[in-house]
Amino acid sequence: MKVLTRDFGEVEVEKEDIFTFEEKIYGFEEYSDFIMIYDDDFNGEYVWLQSTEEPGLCFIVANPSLIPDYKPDFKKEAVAALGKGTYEYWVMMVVKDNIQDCTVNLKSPVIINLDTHKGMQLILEQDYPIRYSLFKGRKES
Amino acid sequence: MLILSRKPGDSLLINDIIEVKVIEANGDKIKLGIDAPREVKILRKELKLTEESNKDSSASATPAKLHSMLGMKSAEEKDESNKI
Repeated sequence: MKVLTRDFGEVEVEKEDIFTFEEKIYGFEEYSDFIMIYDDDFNGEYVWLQSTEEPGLCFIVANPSLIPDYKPDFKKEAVAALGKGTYEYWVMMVVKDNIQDCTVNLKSPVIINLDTHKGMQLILEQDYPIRYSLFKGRKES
Repeated sequence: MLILSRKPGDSLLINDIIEVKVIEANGDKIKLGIDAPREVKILRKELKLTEESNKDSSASATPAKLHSMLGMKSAEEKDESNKI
């Protein structure tokens, strides 16, 4: 099926590519279906979480491997909500003009189950920051 | 910020109409009870902050912005420089 997007034009997706967020993304409760759009320029470090219901609704999520010592504890809640299966998790990123102002939300990762095609945003019990500076001290290139 | 000490069973009264009671304290977890009129919105703070951060994320989520921030050339710029 075709999904219309504001930034990537018309994207062809299979039903299995769609993740249903029954638990919703905070602040965006009217939207439940999303796809992950990969851009070769970014090598899987930054991916787009695109709504299939609203072309203009898209989030940038960052690969958690970019953050040292980030060990979110979500298995119990995730399996209860999304079922058993292979899990992936990503962190919501806020892009700014200045790279040093860019932050990621480590407290509320986006969790997806690759087998049940369900997703959620879970607010962790652990004390992680909501706005963690990903590029602290890095000079603009 | 007003800082007070309360024991389990103690209460705070806010504006005479909102009551916050410490129900029990168990190690590093504290159970609070809140009595407020229906129109008073009560949210875990991290929920509100997550909402705001999500909104900021969606507002800044264009490939062009990301390219620009990382100091990379956008697809359009690459096309242009390839044409030269």
